[in-house]
Amino acid sequence: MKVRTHMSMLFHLDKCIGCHTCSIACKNIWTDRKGAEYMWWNNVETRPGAGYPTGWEDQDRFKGGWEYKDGHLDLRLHSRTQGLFRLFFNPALPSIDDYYDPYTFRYSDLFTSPEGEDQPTAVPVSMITGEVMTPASGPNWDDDLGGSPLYAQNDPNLKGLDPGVRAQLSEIEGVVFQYLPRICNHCLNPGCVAACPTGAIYKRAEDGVVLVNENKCKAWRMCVAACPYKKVYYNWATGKSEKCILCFPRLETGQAPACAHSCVGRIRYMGVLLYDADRIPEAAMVPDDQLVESQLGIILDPFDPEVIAAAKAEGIDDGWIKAAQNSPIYKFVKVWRLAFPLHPEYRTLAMMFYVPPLSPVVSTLEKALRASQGKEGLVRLDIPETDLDFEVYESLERARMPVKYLANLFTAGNESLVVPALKKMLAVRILKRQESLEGGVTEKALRVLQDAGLTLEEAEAIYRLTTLPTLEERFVLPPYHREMAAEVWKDPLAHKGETGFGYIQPPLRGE
Amino acid sequence: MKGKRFFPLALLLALSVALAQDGKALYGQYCAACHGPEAQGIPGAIPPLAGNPRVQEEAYVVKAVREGISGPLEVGGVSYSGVMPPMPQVSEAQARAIAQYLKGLSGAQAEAPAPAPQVQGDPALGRALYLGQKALQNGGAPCQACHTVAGVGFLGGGSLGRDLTDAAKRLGGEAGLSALLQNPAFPVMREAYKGRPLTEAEAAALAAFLVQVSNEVPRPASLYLGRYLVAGMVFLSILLLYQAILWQLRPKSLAERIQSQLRR
Ligand code: SF4
Ligand code: SF4
Repeated sequence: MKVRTHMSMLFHLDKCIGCHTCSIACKNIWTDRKGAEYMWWNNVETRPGAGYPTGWEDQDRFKGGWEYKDGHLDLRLHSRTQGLFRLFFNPALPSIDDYYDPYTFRYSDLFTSPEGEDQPTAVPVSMITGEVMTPASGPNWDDDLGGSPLYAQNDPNLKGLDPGVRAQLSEIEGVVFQYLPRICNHCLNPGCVAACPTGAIYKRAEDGVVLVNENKCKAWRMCVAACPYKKVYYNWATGKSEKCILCFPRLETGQAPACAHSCVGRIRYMGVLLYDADRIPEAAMVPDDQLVESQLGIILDPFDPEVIAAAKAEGIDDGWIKAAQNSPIYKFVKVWRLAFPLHPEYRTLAMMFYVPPLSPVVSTLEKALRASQGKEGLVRLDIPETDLDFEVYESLERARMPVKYLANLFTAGNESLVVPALKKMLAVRILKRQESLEGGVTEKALRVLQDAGLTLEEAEAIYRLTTLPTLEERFVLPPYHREMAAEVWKDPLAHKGETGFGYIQPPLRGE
Repeated sequence: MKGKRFFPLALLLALSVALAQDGKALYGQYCAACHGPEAQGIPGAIPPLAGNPRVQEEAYVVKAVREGISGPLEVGGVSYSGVMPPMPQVSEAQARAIAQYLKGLSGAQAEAPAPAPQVQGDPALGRALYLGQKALQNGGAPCQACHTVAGVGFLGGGSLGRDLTDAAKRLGGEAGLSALLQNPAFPVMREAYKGRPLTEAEAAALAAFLVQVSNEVPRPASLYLGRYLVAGMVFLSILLLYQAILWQLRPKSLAERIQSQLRR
């Protein structure tokens, strides 16, 4: 057992309001530079939808992630020999059109236009060429199902869905969508690291952050293609690849990443997970439907004395072990089994986790009712509001956001993992709604709770961490002890005072 | 007392004998290939060293060995215009030992013996060996890998070694070449053929071939440049065509599909 520590983020999708504050916070700090205009290290997608870059999940086109065949785990992108031949020509790379041509507006037009009948407008200009352009795509072009229905219809996660259900997804009264905020998953088995011919990408041992060494990067861009989440971006101005750094400078100074810190819906949690680095290969080499289980299997119990001893033997600080014990991520992922990695079938062992969202209303039930009564138009279920949730609980497989869709996103299509998570969340919702609105809990609610496999205490804990967490409960950040690392080459106090001043080595193309 | 005074002298004598003996071995190793085992040279190609007044001057010999000589030279009424490659691998002390040995030779060996009879080479076989159509017996690389002879081969040969078109004129005709080929003095060539020397017959055949080509009218070097440009262009266009086809065949991305559908 080789214990390692990992900083992981958890996205409670039931709470995301799709405001894009996270994306803007990230952009303002990290990618508001020349050559980085088109990059969104954090982006929020409307689902069903095409995402950003458009259709990134289409691995037939983009060739990201790993393929498990005949007991071998191989990059989908290419073998070593193929890689050599594609050094200068890599058709799997996304083009700028797959992202979007970044644009701004020529605001000076507002002041310099000649006098006329109409209001002057600022024309859009490309941030790459500077020429006047007509924007035809953007990082969230299909936001809230806007733009064209073509985007949602082409969502690959709709595969395996009943055609009737598919059609219903875009009906006026049945329409449904959720948000999916995405950052780099700081994977345990990263495709980007494996594909880099110069060895410029590495995963930090202390917190698992995957970083590009800008001094080593030689612009081969294999990582861009090999990352199945398309979360490495090529900066055309510096000739280097860039990616989400999990705001490690903030983490090292005890602050949560900017996206998490600014999150309006407070959907994001940060915490430490302990994992067994020795068992990474075996976790990635199992059939699709067992992937989530095998990945969760290498996440270790921070209370297990054996694990603690092994962690200490690896030189892991007590503060980190304590943070791992208090980690909200550990609770959601391992204790309550409510959260899953995004697209485990890419086999990079993504280390950011998602709590799937609950469906808002019982539209499919209403639709069934409408059909049985032979009526046109909307028919409301003739039951009291308070009983609606029970209805959803009973027929989760017909929930408005199809379970199959969520399973395609989070469990490689394995519905038997998503359903219990949704049931637990619903049971907690029913329980707390009765407690706060009706002043008492009914037998029925307790039965549902038991059926979902929760005790009252657990339900209470889930409820508290979901709805009422304090900042310290959402972000359980370990002490990084940078002073210990700095001590090696410098006086820590002097280092602290100088941090952030100047370039050590400005990035140069070709170097 | 007496013995004591003579001791350094005796030592010096012993040393000089040792040096001369050493010099002989070194001569055999570095010089004999071209200048002959008896330092007799090859008339018209490689100057003799025995009886050559120049070798009396130690500094000259050391410089010649370590830095090489080129250009016209007259020894005993015969003029030579070859190139002797530098041999920096011979240390200064070793070069001095060689000079010592040569000095001793010059008096005794006033008359050089006639050059050893040469094996008659077959130029056709030489051409085959040069082009690599016929393998060298000991596994050495064919000459064309590194050298060019004007007019031989569609794109000429390699450019690592010197152009051999007029090698016969530079390196002492058939006799000089065949000696040189069996024991090359050029450092790179020596390394390349270490452990896989040319046989006498092969050397003779190649020498005959080189003499033959040196007498032909050489083709201009620009011929190869033109051919190279054309071949390069053909290769490049095949490559570009291949890439263009690959690019066309790649699966269309969703962005492209949606855009084209929206345009319709
Ligand atoms: S999600 Fe991040 S760590 Fe994983 S392959 Fe992509 S860039 Fe690498
Ligand atoms: S800031 Fe939070 S709530 Fe808003 S889109 Fe981002 S993740 Fe969702």
